[in-house]
Amino acid sequence: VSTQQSAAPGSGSERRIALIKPAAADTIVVHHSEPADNLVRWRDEGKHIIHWPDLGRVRANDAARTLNALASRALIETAQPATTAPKAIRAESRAPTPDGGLKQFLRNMRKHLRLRGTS
Amino acid sequence: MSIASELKIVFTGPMGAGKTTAITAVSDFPPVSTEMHNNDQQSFAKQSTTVALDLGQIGLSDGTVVRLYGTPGQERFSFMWEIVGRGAMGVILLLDGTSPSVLADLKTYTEVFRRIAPEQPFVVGVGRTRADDYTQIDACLRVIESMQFSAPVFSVDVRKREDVLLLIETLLATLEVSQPEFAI
Repeated sequence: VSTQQSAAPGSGSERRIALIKPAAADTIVVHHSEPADNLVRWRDEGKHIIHWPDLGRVRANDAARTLNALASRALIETAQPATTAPKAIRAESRAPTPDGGLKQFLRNMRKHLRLRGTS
Repeated sequence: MSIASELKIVFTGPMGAGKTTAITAVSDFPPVSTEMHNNDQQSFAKQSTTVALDLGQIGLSDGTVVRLYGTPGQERFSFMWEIVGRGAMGVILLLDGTSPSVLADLKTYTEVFRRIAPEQPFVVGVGRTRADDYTQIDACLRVIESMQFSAPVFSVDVRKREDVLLLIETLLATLEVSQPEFAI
């Protein structure tokens, strides 16, 4: 699981984007990007995590295990969704990749432009 | 996917949408422009217009160079769109919200650049709209949806650097979540 904060300057809405890659899945699914005050979808299709724990960038299996453990102890609050949000399949970019990798590029670019993001 | 230390972001849109202004707002140096006297005052009343391309640049601390290309706005130079658009890491489409052809322009440019760079982030900025009037933005979103496509649309004033940064940040965020290296 990779959780990231992404904000559009001036939009006033912080967004948390959760990328979840189940161990046995061939495709990576973006489980939706929604305003932070909305519920973020979890890998369990029947539930939402109400308070998303800050797991940082941990491996998918570890994160799933952590989430399951926390949920079983009711340490994270979950709820049934009112409606099922549509899944978005990730489209991989075919643009040239920066020499130092995309993460480094985004960090440098945002630093250069003094944008708010820090990933 | 190739590795490159030179990357490019493309600003496109019809004449008078503000491509040169937007590039000027974020480029490290005044963009190299191919401005000529505008002989097409009927389409858009301004003294000069870009006939080949604009070129700005952002130089990052690690030596990576991001070229900012502006396409020529006049359709007779549309052969340049493909040349400039190929290999772009993202496309920013700028539109003039007061133009009667704004929705047609949106459709035309979206179709062309989705063909040239189908997997790349695509962000739309609509200028000269009233800040509290979302009619034009909603209309643009409907056009994009009708094309079975999804792209963020913003009301912008490209004379303001922060509005241009908003478009770039959105493009970067879109790029970020589309990359395999961001999934663990």
